[in-house]
Amino acid sequence: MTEWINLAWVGICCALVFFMQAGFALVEGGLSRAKNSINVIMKVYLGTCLIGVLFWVAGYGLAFGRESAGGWLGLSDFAPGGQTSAQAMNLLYQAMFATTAVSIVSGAVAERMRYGAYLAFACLMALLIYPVYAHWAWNPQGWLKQLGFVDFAGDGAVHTVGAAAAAAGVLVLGPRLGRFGRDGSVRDIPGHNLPMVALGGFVLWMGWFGFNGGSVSGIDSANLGVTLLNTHLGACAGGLGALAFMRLSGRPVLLSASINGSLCGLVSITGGAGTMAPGAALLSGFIGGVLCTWGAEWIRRRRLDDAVDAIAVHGLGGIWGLLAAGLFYEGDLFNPQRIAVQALGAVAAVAFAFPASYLTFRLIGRLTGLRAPTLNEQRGLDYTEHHEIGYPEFQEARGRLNLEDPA
Amino acid sequence: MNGMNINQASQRRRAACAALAPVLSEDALIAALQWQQQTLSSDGITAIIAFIDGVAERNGLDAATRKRLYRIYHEALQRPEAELPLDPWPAMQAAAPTPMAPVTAAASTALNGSPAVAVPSPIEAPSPPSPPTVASAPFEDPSIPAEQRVFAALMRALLEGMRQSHAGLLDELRQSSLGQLPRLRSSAQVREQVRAAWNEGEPAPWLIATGEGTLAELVNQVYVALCETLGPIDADRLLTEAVREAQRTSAARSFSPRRLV
Repeated sequence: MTEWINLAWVGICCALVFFMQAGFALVEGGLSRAKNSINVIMKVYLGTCLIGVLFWVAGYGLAFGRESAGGWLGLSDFAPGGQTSAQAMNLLYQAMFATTAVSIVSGAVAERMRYGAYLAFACLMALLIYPVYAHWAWNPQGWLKQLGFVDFAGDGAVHTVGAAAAAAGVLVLGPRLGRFGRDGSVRDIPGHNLPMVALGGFVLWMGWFGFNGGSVSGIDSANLGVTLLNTHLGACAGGLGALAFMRLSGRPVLLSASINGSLCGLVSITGGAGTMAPGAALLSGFIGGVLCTWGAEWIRRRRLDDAVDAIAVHGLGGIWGLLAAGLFYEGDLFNPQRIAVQALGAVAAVAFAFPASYLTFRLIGRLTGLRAPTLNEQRGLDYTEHHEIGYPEFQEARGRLNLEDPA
Repeated sequence: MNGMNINQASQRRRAACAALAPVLSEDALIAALQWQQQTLSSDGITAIIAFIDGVAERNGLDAATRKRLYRIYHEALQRPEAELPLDPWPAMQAAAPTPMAPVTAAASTALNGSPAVAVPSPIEAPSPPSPPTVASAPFEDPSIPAEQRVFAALMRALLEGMRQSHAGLLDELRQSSLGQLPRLRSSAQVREQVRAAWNEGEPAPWLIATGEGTLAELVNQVYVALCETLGPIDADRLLTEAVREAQRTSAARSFSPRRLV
């Protein structure tokens, strides 16, 4: 009976993590300009479709295959069939995590990347980048796992790897037209729909209960309640950390920064949600909220154009979350050896995912072209990439007007 | 004689623009230019010092900046036209509560060193032609292809919008656009027409004899320059407004300006 209840719980968590894609679409779509909003949402949508298939075909085997190449890569369980219900559920749950890792990239590179090039990158990341690190961190035979690495629900495998890939993409693509002045000034490019961003923030927060809650060993586990409580406290504290940073540094209290703060709080607690006391979760989330609000500005000052501050939220939050999982491991606080392993895991995530993503972006750029032409940035990627616009009553699209204008 | 005075006044406006644009806001710059127009009597050192002192006092510039501005302004007065920003006269006209005409050097009153009591001079020189509005643009000649007339209207509306909202950055826009011109996929002749239009100071006709594709590419080059100069939000706003303005022309009935954007 317990087994079936556990299965049902993981099924619910699958749906919750899947629903996070809607959260990403809302946050990223709302933070982009109206003329690019459909493009951003399409990246998340069809990215989900492609990754779902590819992860089943090869990603799952590379990450979780029972045969391992020395702890570096899985070698079995490709396109698996004939699985038990629990095995199939596990595959589905892991596919949701892979999709989440890739969706982190889509927002960072928004508003200037060719759609086809993004989908190509999403495929390669889901096939070659995400599964490799997931194998190291989560496969029982993975070399990091063998060292005692704790990555409860993916601070390393999902968030740090996703952010490292996003940073590589941002670097290769360059900033959006006019994002930075010649004098180095940063020009705001406000999103077109902040209520949509807020809704996305709530959806992601809700989805995170599945993200962390599904990673416990079972619904009967004593950890489930603490894990869910920690998740909620991390998000709350992240929002408060962002608020404290903005307030104490004399900045206006922005909605987008508050939402990113709570998301970073969630990321910060993801690595140790099942192994921390609630007080430690609160502290981790709070520091995450401060870190990402400060970090987003720091990244902009380096003239890196991350359209949704994904690098700050998932990268800084992910690395901090891995360290926090070591620092605040319940019953073994501040154990230097544990902290060293956590730091090694964070370094490994960046050291592997960043260059691998950088090379992948470069390769795609050489083969198909990566950056949308300036004419497409002018017209908006919704029309130039998809021949659709998000708000036809208010937007004036060349395509729509051509229909009216036979000349 | 009048022509010479107009040139002299234009040179002063452009020199003042070169010197003051980096240290003043757009509104303060226009105010300083208008004040110069009314008061500066000669290109002599004393008059320049008095003018710069007055601007510095009004805008709270420190002594070091003031000293630097004496030199920059004096040097700018000697520079050839091509090295100076465009004449800000249209922006001054747009900003003035009532239409003004340039004042000749001979007719201006001498600066008395106290900016607060500067007296407007009597107007002697004939007004330069005021920038034509798009609606009254002389591009009704049906022998000119509609896309070229629409492009001209769009460019003039775009530059007029720029003059009204960011006059101090017009020269940066021009430089940025000219910098991209070599990449235009068209003949050297077309590029030369565009270069001439940009260098023509006062509102140029912008009638470029080429096809729709090249005209759309030109609009894109200007859009990129606008993004670099103002940022993408203002660039989008100016382009949208220019399209709306161009749509009011008669040529837009046979060729929608949106086909160029």
